[in-house]
Parts: sequence; structure tokens; C-alpha cells
Amino acid sequence: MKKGEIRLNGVSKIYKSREKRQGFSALNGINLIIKPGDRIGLIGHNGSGKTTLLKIIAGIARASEGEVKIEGKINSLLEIGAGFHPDLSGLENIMLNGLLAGLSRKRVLELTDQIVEYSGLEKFIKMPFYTYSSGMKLKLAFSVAVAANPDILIFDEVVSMGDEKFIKLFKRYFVEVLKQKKTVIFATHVLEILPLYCDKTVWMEDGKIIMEGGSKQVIGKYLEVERKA
Amino acid sequence: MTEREIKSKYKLSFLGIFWIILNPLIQMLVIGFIFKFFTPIKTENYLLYLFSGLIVWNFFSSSVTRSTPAIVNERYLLKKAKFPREMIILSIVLSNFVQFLISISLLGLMMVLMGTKINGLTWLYLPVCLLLILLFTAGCSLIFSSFNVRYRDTSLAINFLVSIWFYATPVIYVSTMLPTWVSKWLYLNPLTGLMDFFRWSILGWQIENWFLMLGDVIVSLLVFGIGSYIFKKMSLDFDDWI
Repeated sequence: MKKGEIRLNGVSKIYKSREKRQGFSALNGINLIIKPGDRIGLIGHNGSGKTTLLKIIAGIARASEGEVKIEGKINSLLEIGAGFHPDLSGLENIMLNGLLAGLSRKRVLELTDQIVEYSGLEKFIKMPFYTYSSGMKLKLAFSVAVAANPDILIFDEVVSMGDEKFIKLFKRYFVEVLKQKKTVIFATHVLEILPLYCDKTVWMEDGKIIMEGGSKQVIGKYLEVERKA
Repeated sequence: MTEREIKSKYKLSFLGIFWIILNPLIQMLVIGFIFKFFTPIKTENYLLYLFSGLIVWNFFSSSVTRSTPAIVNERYLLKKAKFPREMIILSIVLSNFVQFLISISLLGLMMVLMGTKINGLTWLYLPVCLLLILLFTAGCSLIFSSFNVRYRDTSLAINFLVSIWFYATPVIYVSTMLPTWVSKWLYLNPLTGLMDFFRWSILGWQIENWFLMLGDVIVSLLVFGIGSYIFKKMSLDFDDWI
């Protein structure tokens, strides 16, 4: 396998519950191959298993069944502000987040200036993180994620809660990321922006992949079904 | 992570790092004052005995009570990033350990001021003793915190347990004051043996029963081994329960 490659073979995830003996099946026999440098969109209704799938790829959750093979370093932006501590300053958070992303202390220190510059937050970098606006949080999170130089980048619903200005900002940073030719998985409900950035889209429903292929086709089909419903 | 823990704990507080020193000092003065009047503890240097017990106890109890709910509290990190989960627990324990070390230097200062004779040789064992206390505390923290993910009652039970544990550990009293059959049972609690070891190495206090003390040393190591194993195993599925 090459760096940035992902192979899922018959992956299922069952969440056990305290009350019921039978668990809840969030993923059901997922087969998916993502090649290095692929940019994959992930769509589906709430509860279709997108987040669970991303968590398994990111190594946060464990698959109940099946085989997960991943090559390379992963960084996930599953929510803006995740992996940051509200009481610490931006600067200290760069260290914290960098360490969480698997960088050494020395490496983070080397990269700090670059991260601060890239984020454009020089003025605010010593203020506590809780004083930051969503846009500023996004800038910082993106800057660290990019500097950590992962092989695979995962985004989950990062743009959904933002306003137009936020989405614009996100796009600007996202384009930068795409230039680096990383493997990118991007889950979202904002369908318009997917075909712009992702060549391929995977559509999930009820824990299964029901369609995968070119972004335009998959989204077209998705909207068609949506209209009929 | 440890740095984050210490910084975030004291950063926005006014007196900052002084709390680390003030806390055991005030505790010692209050308990020492009260016990002077009420109980017939006939030991020389009771204040030193008490203070040394208190700082070990404070390290253990605050590490355990803070660690137990930590995995659940830090879900914002756990659900979003992949990193070795034990870092959360170890950073809490280590940050408390730094405070513990500060308290120990304070204890050393007190010994100098009070003109205690310092027994040079036993001091060499201090690092070993500190390591054992650290491992036992980390082991307990790992076990309790991983159980708390699945059974949230754990953190409630631990709060309760810790308050009882305090009385089952010779912190404010001396175990030789108790009838032998009671004090023997105290060694079921590994902290009793570790406390003996600590006072022996730093204050030159006699160890009554070496056999039981060494038993506690072995149990402490076992607790750490078992704790690490349980945590490692259970941490794979933490995400399912938080």
C-alpha cells in the first residue's frame, strides 16, 4: 500500500447499549477503496453512518467487524475547535493541537511561526482560545492541520454551521489544502461545493454505501431521490 | 499535556502557583492545631509526620478523583482526535506529581528549619519510593477512569471511597497507636506500606513491619501493571460510550 491509501473491507460497526441486548448497527458491510490523492465527498442524511465511518478511518472508533487498512498519517477536522483547549492561548493551543496531531515538541516549535503567519492571527495569538470567533478558530485549526503535513485529511460537517463569509474563508483554505495533493475525505450537507473540489462522491444511507462515482452523477441522483420523497 | 494541565488549572487564578504550596500547608496547620488539643498523639515532630502524610495523600487523592471522570470530561478531545488515550490520565497524574515534588521540597525546608537530623542514607531510596507512589497512583487512576467510561457510577463511588480511604491510611494517625490486629489489616491498603516507605526514606521514621511493607510494594507494581493492561484494552472502545 502507498501512503494516503485507505482500504475498507466488509466493515461493520455495532454500538452496544446498556439496556438492550441487541446493539444498534451503524455501519453494515462497507467496502471502500480510496487511492492516494483521491478527493472523496461523503453525503447522506443525518444518521446514515457518515461520522461513524470517518471515525473508524481516523482511528477514533474501532470497527466491530471487517478489515481496516490505512497507510500514512491522518489528521481529522471533525469539528472546528475540537482538540483545542478554551482556556489556553492560541499559541499554547498550537502546541497542544500539534502534539495531538503526532508532531514532536521540537517540530511544533519550528513550525509555530509559519502556523501563526498562515492563520493571520498574529494580533490575537496570545489571547485565550475561548475569545476567538468561529472564523478565527477555523483559521487556526486549518493552519495547524496543514502544517502537520498529514497524508490523509478528514473533514466532517465543518462548513455546515458557518455563514457565507465563513464558507468563503473555508473554501480559501480548502483550495490551499487541495494543492498539496493529499487524500481528502469531505463529509457535508452543503452539496453545491462538493463537485468543485471532489472528483468522487460516496452516498451513504442506513449504514451502507448505496452509490459511489463521479460527484456530479451521485449528487444528481441524490437530489432526484430527494425531490421524489 | 502535563504542561497544559498545570497551566490551564492555574492560569486564570490569581495566586497561581502559590495554591500548590498553600493547600497542604493550611491543611497541616489546621489539622495539626486541632490534634494538639484533642488527641494524645505522643510522637515527636508530629507536624512533620502529618505533613509528609498529607502531601502523599493529597497527591494520591487529587490524582485519582480528577482522573476518574477525566475520559468522560475530555470527550471533546477523544471523539475528535486520535492519540494515545492514556496521555489524558498520565498528564493529570504527572501534573499532580510536579505539585507533589514542590510540596516535598517544602517538607525539606521545614525539616531544615526545625533542625531535624537528616539521615543521609535512607534519602537514596527516596526516588524509588516516589516512583512506587507514582506508579500506584497512575495504576489506580487508569483503572478507575476506564471503568467510569462504561459505568458512570464509578466516579460517584470513587468520591465516596476516597473519603473512607483517607481513614484507612495512616495520614493523621500513627499505625502503632492501633492494636496490632487492626494495624495489620491496614496493610491491605497499599498506601499504608508506601506511606511507611516514604516516611522512612525522608524522615528516617522506623518501619514496623518490613514484610508487610514490601508486600505493599509488590501490590503497587501489580496495580500499575493491571491498570495499564485494562486501560489499553478498554480504551479501544471508549468512543462507543462517550
